Amino acid sequence: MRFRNFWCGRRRLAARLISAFFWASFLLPLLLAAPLLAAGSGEGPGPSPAPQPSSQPAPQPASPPAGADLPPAIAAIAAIPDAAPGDLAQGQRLYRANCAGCHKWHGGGGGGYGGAALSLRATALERPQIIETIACGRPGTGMPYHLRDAYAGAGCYGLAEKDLPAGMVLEANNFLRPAEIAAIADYVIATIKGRGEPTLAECRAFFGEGSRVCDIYEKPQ
Amino acid sequence: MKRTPFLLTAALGALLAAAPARAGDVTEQRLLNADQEAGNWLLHHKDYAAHRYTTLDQINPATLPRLHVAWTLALGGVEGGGIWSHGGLEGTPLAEDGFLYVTDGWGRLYKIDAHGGQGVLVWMMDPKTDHDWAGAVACCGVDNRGAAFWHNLVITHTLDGRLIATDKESGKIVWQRQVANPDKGEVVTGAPLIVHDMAISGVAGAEYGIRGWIAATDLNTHQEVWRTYTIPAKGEPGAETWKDDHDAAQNGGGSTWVTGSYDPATDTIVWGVGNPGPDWDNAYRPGDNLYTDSSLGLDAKTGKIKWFFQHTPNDPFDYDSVAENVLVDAGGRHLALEADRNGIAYAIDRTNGQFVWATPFVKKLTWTKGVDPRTGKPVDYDPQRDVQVYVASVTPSRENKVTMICPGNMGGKNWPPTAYNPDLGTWYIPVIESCNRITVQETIPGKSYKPREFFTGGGPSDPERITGSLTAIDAATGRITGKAETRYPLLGGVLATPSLVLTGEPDGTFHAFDAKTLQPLWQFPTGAGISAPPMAFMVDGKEYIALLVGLGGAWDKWFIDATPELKRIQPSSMLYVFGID
Ligand code: HEC
Repeated sequence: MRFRNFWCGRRRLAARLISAFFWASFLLPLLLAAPLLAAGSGEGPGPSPAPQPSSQPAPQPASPPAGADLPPAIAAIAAIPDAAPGDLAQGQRLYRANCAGCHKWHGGGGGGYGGAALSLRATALERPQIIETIACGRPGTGMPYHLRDAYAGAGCYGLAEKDLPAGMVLEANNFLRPAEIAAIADYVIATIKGRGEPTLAECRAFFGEGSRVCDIYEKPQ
Repeated sequence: MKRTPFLLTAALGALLAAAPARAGDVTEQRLLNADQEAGNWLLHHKDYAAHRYTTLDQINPATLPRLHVAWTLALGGVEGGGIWSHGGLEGTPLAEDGFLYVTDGWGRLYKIDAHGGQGVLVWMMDPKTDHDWAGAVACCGVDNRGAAFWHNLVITHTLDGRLIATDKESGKIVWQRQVANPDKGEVVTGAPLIVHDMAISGVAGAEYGIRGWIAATDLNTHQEVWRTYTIPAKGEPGAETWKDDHDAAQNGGGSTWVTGSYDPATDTIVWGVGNPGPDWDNAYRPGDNLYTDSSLGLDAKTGKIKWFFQHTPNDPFDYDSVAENVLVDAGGRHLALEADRNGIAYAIDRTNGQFVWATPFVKKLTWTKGVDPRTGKPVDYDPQRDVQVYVASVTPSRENKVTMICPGNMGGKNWPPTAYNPDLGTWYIPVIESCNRITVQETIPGKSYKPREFFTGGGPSDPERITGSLTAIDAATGRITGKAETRYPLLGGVLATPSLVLTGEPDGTFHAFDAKTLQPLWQFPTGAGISAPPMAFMVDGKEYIALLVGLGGAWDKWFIDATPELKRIQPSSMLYVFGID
């Protein structure tokens, strides 16, 4: 399992084809009852009929009310109070270790050699859905789940791993505790979501001194 | 390379043995005759001709049953950086007088004393590579393929674009210079090639919109002597093969990340050039896109391009030609052999770049109907077209956005080096028997290119199983003389001995095959991923084979779906040394 988490979205398109078939044949009723899941595919209200390669995030449908339809374990995480402003160090550390390999330090994700992790800068998801996405991942895409018991019972999206075709859900490299998931979500919302192009200040805040990784933001392009 | 002056070089070798050059002094003479120093491995590819052939023969079919691990040494460099969660090993150790010099993926250099049947670390040079700066723009892994000798210095590269000279005795850095710029997406993974008193460097980054080059640094003055761009500037010959109106050449790719070879007879450096960028959207860059996907002959003193041979014009597949050119005299001709990522092995005349023969070396090849025996171009190449379609139903394009190609975009054959047995006239290719799926994404002029971000015009995925083979070719005729199939793609490269061929699989299996029949004769499970070539050396009168073990490169990030069992291989970093007991 270990290497799966490294692939980011490279399997996204292939996986979507499988996922389209999968959802259609097994889960249509569930799907209709769970608009969130369909929103999760990033391409409108149902399983995508054909791959739509794009490094740009697909338009996000409006989010349902916060907390709606969340399984209890996820709702419990969403109920963790927001991080105090300025208290984002832990979230940043965890983001760097668990998310940056695919979404990049700046959260832009983007067209890759092997696919695309969606942009967290352009995401329309609210805190509960970001938490759900981190905890549950996205079945049929390259987004892994980070909560140990996400699919142990009928948890995330009402699914259990034992009932799913192999490879449908990806297990993260490291599992995260509920408080850690909330901390990452708060970090994403406070520093990444809604931002435009990455800036020098953001880069410095992420890497600190000692690496030349922020060079390109210093020089006028 | 010419083997005719054997007597002369043998005499010279005897002379050197009688009155040896100062210990540790690797002179130009010694490098020119590196193939004659049986117990040493002085150049990246063993000799300037890139034969990777050892004349040592203590390890042979009769003694193989007694071939065992003599010793191991744990190295570092497994840590991640940038988009990479771990580093790996792709290097070829160098050996001189019983000392080994190896690098890990982040460019640390280790000197190891191999005397007395064990390996003792003498020193380690840590270049303190800027992990995030470099690792974020390394398309295909945290890799460093090895070192080079020049007098009493060991010359290496770092992923963050430096050329470093280290004192062989003390392990201290004597000087260093920045040759590549990660701000532009340039990184360096290859070993330097020493020619005359120059270090030749190649660059990686065609997936990040670089304009590729080969550069020569004077090792005495530490200044650049020449830098030859693989994509011509406006007005230079070849510029007319970039026919767009948005300066695609500026981000045209053409990287040079595999160490080339050198022909002293004509003072020519022979070096392979990578794919054009963006990889899969060839409508963005109409024209043949010289000198991408080509073998180049460069004048060693000036870097001037003397000749070229292009394999896949206006490439829509990512079929680069960075592979090493193996210099062989066969069938009365001075050849350069190259096993291309496009699945076809080529022989050209290395004095002028003229085509001689071509042979598909993979089991399945779908992108072309064959090679024109006169020109060496794919038969479906149409010089009237600006955007090539080859076999249109297969070829990725803006019209054919999702398509399976064979071989897959990783090749055919990737960087892992071939080897050549001059006595048998047989050339051994480590093959990736593959198809994979390409999804094209249209590249928008003025919008898609961003510094330090992928610039690929699409991406691969791997819905089908990929295997491998060791394929033998007769150099004189180009005929395939054998194929030993392997469960996994061969990602490590080959060593040839008088009687054996050795290579490793990414599941950790290290193999010895019979040189003539390719019968598998011996194997050893190293227990980790092999993505580096074996080499041979002698110390205390005994032959050993050294192999770096620790899966590096692009496979586990981009291609692992094609080999699901390899998902359980853990990152590691280990030197294995095998000997007869
Ligand atoms: C192995 C690569 C990978 C890792 C690691 C990863 N992601 Fe993702 N992520 C993806 C991919 C691919 C998608 C796009 C899924 C899709 O196509 O719907 C995605 C989607 C998302 C989304 C949905 C965005 C939207 O607008 O719909 C969020 C939020 C997200 N990831 C957050 C995170 C966070 C936070 C982490 C770290 C805890 C993380 N991801 C780790 C690959 C990854």
